[in-house]
Amino acid sequence: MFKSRLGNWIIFSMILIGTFFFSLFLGSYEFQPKELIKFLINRIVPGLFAGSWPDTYETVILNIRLPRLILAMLVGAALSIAGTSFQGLFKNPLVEPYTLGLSTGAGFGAALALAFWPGYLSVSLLAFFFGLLAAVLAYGLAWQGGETHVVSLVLAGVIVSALFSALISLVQYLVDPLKLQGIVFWLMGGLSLASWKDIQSAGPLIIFSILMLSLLGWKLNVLSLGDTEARSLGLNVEKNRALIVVLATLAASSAVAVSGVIGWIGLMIPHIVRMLVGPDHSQLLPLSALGGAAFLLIADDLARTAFIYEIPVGVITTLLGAPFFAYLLKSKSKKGGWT
Amino acid sequence: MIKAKKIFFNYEKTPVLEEISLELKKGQVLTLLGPNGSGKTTLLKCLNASLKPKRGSIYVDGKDSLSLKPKKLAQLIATLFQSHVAAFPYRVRDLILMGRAPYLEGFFSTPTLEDRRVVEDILTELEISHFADRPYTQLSGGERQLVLLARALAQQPRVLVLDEPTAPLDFKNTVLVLGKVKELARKKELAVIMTLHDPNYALLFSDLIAFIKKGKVLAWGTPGEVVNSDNMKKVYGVEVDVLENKGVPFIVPKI
Repeated sequence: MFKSRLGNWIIFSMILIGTFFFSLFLGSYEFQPKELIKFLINRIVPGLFAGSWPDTYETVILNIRLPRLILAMLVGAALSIAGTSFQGLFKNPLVEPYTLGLSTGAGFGAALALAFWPGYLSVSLLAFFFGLLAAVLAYGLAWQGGETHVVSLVLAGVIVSALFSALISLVQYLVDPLKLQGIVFWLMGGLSLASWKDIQSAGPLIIFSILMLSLLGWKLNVLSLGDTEARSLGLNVEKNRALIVVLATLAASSAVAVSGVIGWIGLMIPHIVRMLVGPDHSQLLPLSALGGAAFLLIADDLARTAFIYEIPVGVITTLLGAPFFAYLLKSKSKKGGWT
Repeated sequence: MIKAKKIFFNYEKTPVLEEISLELKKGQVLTLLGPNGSGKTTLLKCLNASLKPKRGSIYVDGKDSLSLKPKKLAQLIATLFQSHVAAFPYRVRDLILMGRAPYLEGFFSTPTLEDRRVVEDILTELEISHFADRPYTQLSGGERQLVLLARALAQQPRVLVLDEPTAPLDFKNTVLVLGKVKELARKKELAVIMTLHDPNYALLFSDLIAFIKKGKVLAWGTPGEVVNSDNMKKVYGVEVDVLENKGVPFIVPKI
């Protein structure tokens, strides 16, 4: 659709920046946009504008709204780029962290840590470990004689997901009731508890994996030709595939560790971005990260403002994602092709 | 250019290739003929090192291909695969550029301007520039095969291996693709090894023909030397008449 690479970057960046500012002004506590911008600039370069702002600016913007928006962007970008990577790697239009069972696996790891060894490091570590285990399990289950069938990989994901759901229930059953509430709330998938600490713990990992994956984009193109062809082009298939799986899992599990299980972003965004800019992963990976960031901002805007009570953002993404999945299942897997 | 000595390969207990030896100079086209299951494809896979022979040696351009690193090997041998299933609608230009993968230096490096120039030259050479920006998935069978041939050329190989390159093609495209292959063998001094189903195309487009049956080379030489009714009977079990057209033999099955 769009012709030049630079043009694509400009359009996607503009969409993200626009969505960010729109979301910043949106909320139950209303601000004057002009005043808000002055306030923010003043925080960065103190003393540029004369004036003072009420304490509400400090509390609402700096402690609540800003961390929430930044976390939404990080999580959206991470889940989306992980979905793009898995779809390219497995040549499968239906996979993403959620359908692979990775999100539930990471969710179990995080729940385990929250229950018995609370702390940012242990939550991230266990989420990554069990996320990776889930992805490898699903892939191993679906692997038959050198290839994985489109639907069997999704079925394997369902099985793995069921396994880790059961383990999550076990953790909930065993845990001290005071901690149970926190785990249940966190599992619903949401950004309402976003804090700067979340950003500090997940942000570097997510940004690191986005950069690394984007750098490996061209190799992912070659890998997506299939093992035999990639090998005949001199690529070390096992090493590159393992690295991409680990990086995509790191992105997705870091997102799960701070926001719970938010599904379907990694399914929808890669398809939409691919339709707009084409399948070249060196461009598709970073742009799907930008697109995912903008999308989760909007979904979270809906979650926090559309109803009188705030609803978990995972509900919104699922309401959009499930029909999208149904559409892909009907159209894409039948033809076996990509448009 | 490529020299294989006493290649032996087996799956489980059944030997598939029994001590096959062959040698090919640059600029020559060798076609392997034989019935299905004769071991032709296995031989090709051993030659391009996607299968490791149990015994024997293969030298490409004087180098032992079985101990070469995958990247180095991909700079020497390019393969055109029988059935290519495109997962993504890559642009023709991008797909051909993937042939430059063996020349990438670092782990994170991407193709350079020089790599892109190589691709542009090949597009011109194969006269396919006019659809260079189209998605590969929207091309006809013949166009696709030319694009895959272009990708193989982008590897700047010394040896080109083709497994039934004409299987999905109609009459016109078969002639077109095989003609290009022979022309390129001469111009780029490539050693070409391919398998074909139709002996008549082998006669028209190859310098050497090897008849393969049950993992052994039954006969080997120029088309005039080896293609006769005796060998056809031995290899395929089919009675044929050998006629001649402009100095080239062609065969007609007796019916």
